[in-house]
Amino acid sequence: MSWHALGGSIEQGLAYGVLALGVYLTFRVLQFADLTVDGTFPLGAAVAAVLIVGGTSPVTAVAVAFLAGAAAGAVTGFMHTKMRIAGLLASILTMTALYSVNLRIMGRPNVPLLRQPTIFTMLAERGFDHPLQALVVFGVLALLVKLSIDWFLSTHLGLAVRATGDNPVMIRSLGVNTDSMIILGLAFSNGLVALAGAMIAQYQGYADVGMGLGTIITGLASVILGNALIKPATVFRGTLGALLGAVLYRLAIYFALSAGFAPTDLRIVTAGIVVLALAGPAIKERLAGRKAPTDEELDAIARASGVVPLGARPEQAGKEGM
Amino acid sequence: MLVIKGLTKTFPVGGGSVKIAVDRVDLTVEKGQFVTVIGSNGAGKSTLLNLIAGHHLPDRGTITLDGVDITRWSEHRRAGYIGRVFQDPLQGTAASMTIEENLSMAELRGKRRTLRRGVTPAARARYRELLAPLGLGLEHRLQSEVRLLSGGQRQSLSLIMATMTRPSLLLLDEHTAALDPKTAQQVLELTNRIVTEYRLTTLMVTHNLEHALRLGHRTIMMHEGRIVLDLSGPEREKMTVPDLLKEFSRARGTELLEDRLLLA
Ligand SMILES: Nc1ncnc2c1ncn2[C@@H]1O[C@H](COP(=O)(O)OP(=O)(O)OP(=O)(O)O)[C@@H](O)[C@H]1O
Ligand SMILES: [Mg+2]
Repeated sequence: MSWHALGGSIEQGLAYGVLALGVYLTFRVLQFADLTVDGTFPLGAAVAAVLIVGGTSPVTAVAVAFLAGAAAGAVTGFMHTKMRIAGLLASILTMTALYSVNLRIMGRPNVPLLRQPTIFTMLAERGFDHPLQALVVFGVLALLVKLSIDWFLSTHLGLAVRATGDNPVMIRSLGVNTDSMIILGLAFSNGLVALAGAMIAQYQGYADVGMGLGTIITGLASVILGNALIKPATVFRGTLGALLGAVLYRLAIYFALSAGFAPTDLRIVTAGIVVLALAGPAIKERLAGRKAPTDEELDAIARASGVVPLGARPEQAGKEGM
Repeated sequence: MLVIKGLTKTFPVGGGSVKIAVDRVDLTVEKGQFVTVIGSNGAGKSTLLNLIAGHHLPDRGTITLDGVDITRWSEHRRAGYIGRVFQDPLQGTAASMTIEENLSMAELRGKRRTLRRGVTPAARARYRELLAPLGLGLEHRLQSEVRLLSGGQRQSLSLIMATMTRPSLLLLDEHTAALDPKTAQQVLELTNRIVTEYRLTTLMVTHNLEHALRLGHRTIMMHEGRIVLDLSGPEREKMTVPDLLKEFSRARGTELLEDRLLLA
């Protein structure tokens, strides 16, 4: 086992953690399976790479990539809410369109960033040149993104976004335009995914039009894996789980590769993990076979919910029907 | 004050024909008046409330609330002025969020939501004060998720959330129907207390005739989309449940026998 490769997996895990946090926002908070991310991840990479090659500072390039991703997310949101296209389909449409957009932005399928300034070379020039540099950069970034999501979801606006995912009827009855909340949530989420794309392009030294394939599955696998370990009872735990899941997912891939899996087989392994995790409750129920509750347990449950057995029930007074 | 004029709503029922759910209804509810709404299944009570709340748009007619014509307003815009409690206790609250988060969202009814902190210590103190008189102990559980509450507790919380900003109008659609009799009674008493204390203009749909007569200032009966009986003052005070059933039969033009059977 190589410590170097292991460190690389953790680096990547934290980098993809930002992506997982974006997916957490749509999948867990808005309850929206958003395939737009398969397009916004390479979009962020493309925008950042082209800007950097054109002489823009890498930091500005990442910020613009975030905005580009947010705009793409808003397009999906608009199609879903205002044009009443089913969420999954709306996101597939944006993702498909983004493939052309990304090729237009880059002008060709691949933009190399070798010998270009990146956030990493900038930091090295300023004296932070260390084998753990990327680990620190991605660690700090992932933590900042996690904390900003935690903060956002505790504001008045963020509470309304959460309620839109939980109970749209209720939050509408409190005067909130749920359409706007869905668009906002999708924009924030896809902005983060594009930001992850922009950072990873600089880390790996190129942007590629094909790098988005399977982004949603990576994100879902991370969120589901993380939440299996840390119950997402609060937002804080939910985002922590997404981050942890992203790192674990990379480690799992690393070990799968060391165990002799071909890199081309990884997708089916990932899909398998997601299917297993999603089917978990149903499988558990089948395997265990429901244990029959005893009389005592039934009585206890009945007492707790205030049920009086038939016969002991007093006549229901004042209940004339019409 | 709520003023409804000529309000009409039809639903297509297939085969090109329509069902008239609400038929040219005129209704004026004075500020602070508590009106109970009765009528058989399918009479149009829920549709009337849904039209007022903006869940449906009417085919004809106008709705004016406190002098403002809201007929074409979107549902969420009206919600700034109209509080609602639904029949299903699950509908009025966000289950995965805490009691205090739910209250915070309700406190901002109709206001712009910004990036300010949702639940502040000051807000928490307010919520404790608001919940303590209910006697449900919810003031000690502000940070519990709402899904852990019983149906009655959730419905009480929904009621608090619907009324805490003292909206111009409160709409209650059989909001105790899904609860067991004892809990229903408690929620009903809470409703009466809040509506009376805040002097809320209220429409409450119920199938319980005794509740309809005992609570509030006025009772209207709907049948086939129209208001067929409008009781208030001494006339209403004298009215008993059997009287009301007689009135109901007359309005419907059917034999009393049917209702006797229902009563038995
Ligand atoms: N969304 C809808 N689409 C089609 N028809 C509807 C719709 N909503 C209501 N209706 C019809 O309009 C009529 C009035 O229904 P409404 O729900 O208002 O009655 P209600 O008085 O509330 O009855 P209940 O006491 O059963 O709740 C019924 O015939 C119903 O089938
Ligand atoms: Mg109804």
